[in-house]
Amino acid sequence: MVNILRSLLLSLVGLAPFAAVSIFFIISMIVGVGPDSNLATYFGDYIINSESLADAGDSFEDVSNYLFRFMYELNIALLSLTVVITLGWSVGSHYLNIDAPGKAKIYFIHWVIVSGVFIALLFGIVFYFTQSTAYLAQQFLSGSGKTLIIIASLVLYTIMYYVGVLLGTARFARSSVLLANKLPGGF
Amino acid sequence: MKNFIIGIGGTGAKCLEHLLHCCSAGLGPDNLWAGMVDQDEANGNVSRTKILLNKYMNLRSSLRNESKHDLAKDSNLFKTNITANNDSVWLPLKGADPTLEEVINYNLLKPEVKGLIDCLYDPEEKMQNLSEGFRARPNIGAAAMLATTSNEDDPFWSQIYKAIDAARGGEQVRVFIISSIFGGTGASGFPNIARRIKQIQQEKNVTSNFHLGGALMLPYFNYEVPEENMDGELFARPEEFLDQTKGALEYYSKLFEYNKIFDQVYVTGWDPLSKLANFKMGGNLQNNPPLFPELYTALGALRFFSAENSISENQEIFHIGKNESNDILWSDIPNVSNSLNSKDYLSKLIRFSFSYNWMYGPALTGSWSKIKKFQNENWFKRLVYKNTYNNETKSCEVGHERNQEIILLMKEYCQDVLTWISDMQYSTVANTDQKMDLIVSDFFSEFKPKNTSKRVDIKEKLNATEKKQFNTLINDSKNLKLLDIMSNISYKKIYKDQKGLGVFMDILFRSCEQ
Repeated sequence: MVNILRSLLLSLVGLAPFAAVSIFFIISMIVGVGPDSNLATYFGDYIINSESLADAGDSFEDVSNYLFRFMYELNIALLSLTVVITLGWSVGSHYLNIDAPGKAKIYFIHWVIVSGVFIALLFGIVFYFTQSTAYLAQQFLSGSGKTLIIIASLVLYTIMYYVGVLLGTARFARSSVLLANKLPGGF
Repeated sequence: MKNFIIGIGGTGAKCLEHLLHCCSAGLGPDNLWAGMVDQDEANGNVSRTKILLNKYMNLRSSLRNESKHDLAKDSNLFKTNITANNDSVWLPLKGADPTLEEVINYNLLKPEVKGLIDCLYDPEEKMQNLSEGFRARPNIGAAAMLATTSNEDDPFWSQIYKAIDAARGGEQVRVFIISSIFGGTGASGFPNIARRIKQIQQEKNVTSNFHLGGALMLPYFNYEVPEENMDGELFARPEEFLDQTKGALEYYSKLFEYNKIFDQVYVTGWDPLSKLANFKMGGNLQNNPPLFPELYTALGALRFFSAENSISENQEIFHIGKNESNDILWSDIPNVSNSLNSKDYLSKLIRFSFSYNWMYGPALTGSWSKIKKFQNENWFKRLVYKNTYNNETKSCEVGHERNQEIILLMKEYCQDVLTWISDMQYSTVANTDQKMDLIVSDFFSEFKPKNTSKRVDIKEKLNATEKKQFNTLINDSKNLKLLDIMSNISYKKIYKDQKGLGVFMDILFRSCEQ
């Protein structure tokens, strides 16, 4: 149990820097940013389809609440997924049946599957938010804005997940995680 | 404190075998000098213990070498520093094929003394070749023992003199003697050697710091003697054991009543007797399996050496035997002291032996090109690679000859432990109504009735299903799996003073603890 708690702690340490960025972003969206802030300007320049917004007679201020809600709900969903899967793997790695020398690398396939499922869910959530009609704000997004959201989300949360599992995987299961066995033995 | 143990005869040697395993598990004292007494030098039981003793000392010195491989001071694995003479077995009668006639110079005796000898010994006994022991004739053994010298120049007796000198110098010294009460060498050697030690103590005027303990094994096994080709042969007859024991007990009762030779005496018996499958009169073929009562005696010796054992002024006699039930369980094994739980230590050693022999030992065996496939695994990197890495050659030296010698010697020792425990469990209860449930051994060991040694053998390789049964190895409520061992070796703390292969060996040993 001590070893599992240790894994959880290390995993949280790995997640923390990325989660901090994500949480900061979520809080900003919940609180709302001023129209003159950098973030609002950035949204206006790169995320929002300003032309179609103008054609509809709306301004950024009119849709900002929808957009901010879209953003924080998307990030809460992605952050929750990442934390759950990372901690789940970190705990689960202690129960992988690695009972003999040389057996850990067999479980690489398990890690690939878990990682694949994670990325698929990540894609699913992002696509649900950006491509479905569930959120009104998605119709105000430009094509390049959607691409930017998809890429940024995938990059941030995939790296967060990888660093989390890299540090949190049970020591004896490290050969099952890409490059984790390069970590120092006593770490 | 200095400790000395002397195993007399085949039974004494067999009890030492148990004691050595207990010491490797960490149940022994810090230091111990071990010696054996047997006229039957080639005796299979004695040879087996002699080999085991050498193996223990070799492994311990290799793994407790502060400059190369060190298990660390706090490690319980091979805790006891056991020493022995170059030849750990003392032969009371030197020379080739001695007979009692030669030993007592019968032909040179006066006629009246010759007459006395003729009354005490029949012609067969006088002419019996004693190179294979005293054949359960303590009357021969007693005469032969008394006829031998016990001077300070003899390597065996010099240790006793040193022990008594150490006691005179103010150091606590404990000497323990083990033998059977019903055999030849043991029955005759036990009182004579004890009295000789006491005599030296008195000669040297040592009145404190020196304590003598002894263990007597009452009959605990028998065997069937084949009827053919036994006419005229002298050998130990099981039907005579009880009568011999009765006579010997009467003798000891009188001896102990008037003369305080021992501070503590441990008496062990077993009823019903274990039935041995192979009868051999003596020599290298007399290689009997380890039996459970011998473990009691070994634990008695360790209790005697324990620092928690306060020895009183009065002579104390302890006795132990089979409980009323026919089921023998871990709970029947007494603890060495309050802080040394026999079951915990022995089960740790058994688990260690299993996991080393079939899981980790093979991974560490061979050249670097074979071993290197594990170099990225945490246990290997942390416990082996880092500690066998040579900064000058910039390479891991686990595959080097000297390291491989230690790895293979440990594998052999682990096989000895597994054979010892599984053979003891099988042979103690074979062909009786008793049942011993200490370990589950049928998945890794087998008894082949056609095998001439009539001993249990352990399997060379185990398949995945058999390995998986590791969690049932020790019969208790706990359920330690091989996965737990792997997890433990990856996380157990390395002591600061551990070095080389000592790191891996100790961590694996500690990882086998519940």
